[in-house]
Amino acid sequence: MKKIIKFLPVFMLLIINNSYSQQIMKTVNDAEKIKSNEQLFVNKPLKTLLKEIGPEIKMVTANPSKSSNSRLGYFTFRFVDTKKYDSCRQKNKYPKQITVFVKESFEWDVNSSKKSKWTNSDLVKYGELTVVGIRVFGESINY
Amino acid sequence: MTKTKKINQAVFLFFGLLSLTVAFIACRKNFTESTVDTFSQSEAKEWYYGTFKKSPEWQQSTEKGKKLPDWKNGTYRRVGNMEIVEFPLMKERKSFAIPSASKLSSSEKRKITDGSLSRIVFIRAANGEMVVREIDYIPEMNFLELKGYDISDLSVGTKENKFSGRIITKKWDGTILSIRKSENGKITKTGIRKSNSTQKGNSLSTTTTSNTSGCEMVEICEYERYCEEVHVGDAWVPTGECTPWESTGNCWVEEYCGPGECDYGSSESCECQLYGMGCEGGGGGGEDPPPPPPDPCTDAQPAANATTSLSQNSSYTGAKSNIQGANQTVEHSITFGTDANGNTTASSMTSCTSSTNCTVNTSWPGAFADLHNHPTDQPPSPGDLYGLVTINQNQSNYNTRMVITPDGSVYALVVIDINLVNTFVSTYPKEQIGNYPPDFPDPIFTDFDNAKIQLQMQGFSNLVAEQMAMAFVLDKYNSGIALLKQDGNGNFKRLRTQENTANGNTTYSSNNCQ
Repeated sequence: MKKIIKFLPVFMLLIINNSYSQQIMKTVNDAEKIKSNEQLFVNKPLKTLLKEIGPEIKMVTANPSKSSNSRLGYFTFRFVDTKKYDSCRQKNKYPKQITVFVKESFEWDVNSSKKSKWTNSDLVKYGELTVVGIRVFGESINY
Repeated sequence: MTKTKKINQAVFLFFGLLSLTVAFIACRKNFTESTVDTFSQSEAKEWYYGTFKKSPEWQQSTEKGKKLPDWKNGTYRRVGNMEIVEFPLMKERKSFAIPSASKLSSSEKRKITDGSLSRIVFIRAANGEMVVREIDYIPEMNFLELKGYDISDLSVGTKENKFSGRIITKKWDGTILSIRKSENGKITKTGIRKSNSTQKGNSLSTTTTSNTSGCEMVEICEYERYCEEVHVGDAWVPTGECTPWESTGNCWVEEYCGPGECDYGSSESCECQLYGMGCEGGGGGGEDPPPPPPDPCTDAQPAANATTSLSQNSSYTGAKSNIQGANQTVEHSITFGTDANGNTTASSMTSCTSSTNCTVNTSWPGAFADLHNHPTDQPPSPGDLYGLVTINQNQSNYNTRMVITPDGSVYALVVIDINLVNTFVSTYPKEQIGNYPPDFPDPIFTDFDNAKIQLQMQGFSNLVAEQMAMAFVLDKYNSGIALLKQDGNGNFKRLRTQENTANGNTTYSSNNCQ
């Protein structure tokens, strides 16, 4: 009994820690949870949101607007690779995507418009951009 | 006793003959009859609420909930085995397309629009299938005068029908199935819309002309009004509060050719044909073939000409020069209008320093267009498009938004079909984040993005990729808005982009109007 009482705080700490470290989006089907928790990410750095996305991002596109007065800049994260995405579009299907609008203008390499991965260097380069809005669209397909 | 017997025989003979006469008369008129049949009217109402309101036809219509049959004032007629119940149709927004409007005085136009009728028709075919049609009856002025400006007792398919005017048959979603001209109750001509909508001032030089085949070309202009109604159960009670009839600015040309078809009430197959029901073996009946799709370049040409003409006006060149001479890190806007003498005028320049104070002067007298710069290489944006539509819905003549980019390119978004624009914005309303400019909803947003990225990968600059992507989605989603660009000769031409798929790859290419 004494042992249980002794280790209880440790267990509690572990449980609390685990529950806080769980990501909001564990699977692609959870993408809508990112939208429903949008206020947790608005006016926060992009990296805060990205931490909550569990599934592998296999395709990234961006529209680096130079003036938010004309149109906001944004990143679109998808969970299928470019080949699969193109094949879905030809069947008029829209695979699930998360579009994140950011306040600041940024540079984006036009030659790699359809990036296959979101890398650590991307996180360093774009992670501090301020999120102003999120849109989730598309259907869950066979990932 | 014998006398009583004779009297009885005479009475029997009298009533016998009377019965035979009544039966004979009744048999003569049973092919087409017009009467009030409350059973069929209540059946139509029951079907409307029980079946039709749950159908995709009702659900997918942008007009759902904005119009309701006046259940208390229906008429019933039967033609062969076909039953037809017709009710006045109450609508929040009433619109009628009036022929030769520019020949009519304001008072005559008001009398025709006031006197025109919208009705809903429930047709039960012999096989039990139900079809819903919306019919507009637009009377000619002389018929209206003859009827004391009230044709509400009009009942086609009866001997009393002497209607002269146009009869437009539509599906519930507003798609026009047929246009017919009636004279003295007989269908004399069928009409076809020959050109898509033009804005006022870009129409026929005369309102009615005859071509070599003897067909009649008629200029048609649309008028609308909004009425307030109190919803009481399954009825709408008019409050009498209506906006005045106003031009939507939407005009087009219709060609009317004879000879006419069969008339209402003549036969079942004819009713099938007139209501566009697609009956089998209907003696030539069936849904009228849809009109050929309008040519996108022809459609936009009047607007392109008008924009070119504006760009040659001194008010425009001065405005453009002022905008280009101002601080190019922010947007500046100037509105163009027409004064009482018909001269083009330009407002003073407004500048925006943040997304919250980017206003356009929409109250400039006779406002019809505006011009602003984009500090970055971006053609007209989705925000520009939705902004223009919002203005256009309140000021129908205000139909053009021009944008100048840092490299001197000049673009124009132009409303070319108000009906399509209204459908577009109600189907695809803008999506907005905070006070930032509005953007397209999904999936247009995604299609635009995909096209732009692909075009950039094909080697096009950001500016050209965006202009082509914009032209692509405007066409794909049948927006009723054209994107024009000024060419090297100073002429505005419609930009068009086509999607090509081959070997699993999608590419985009220009298909601009020349």
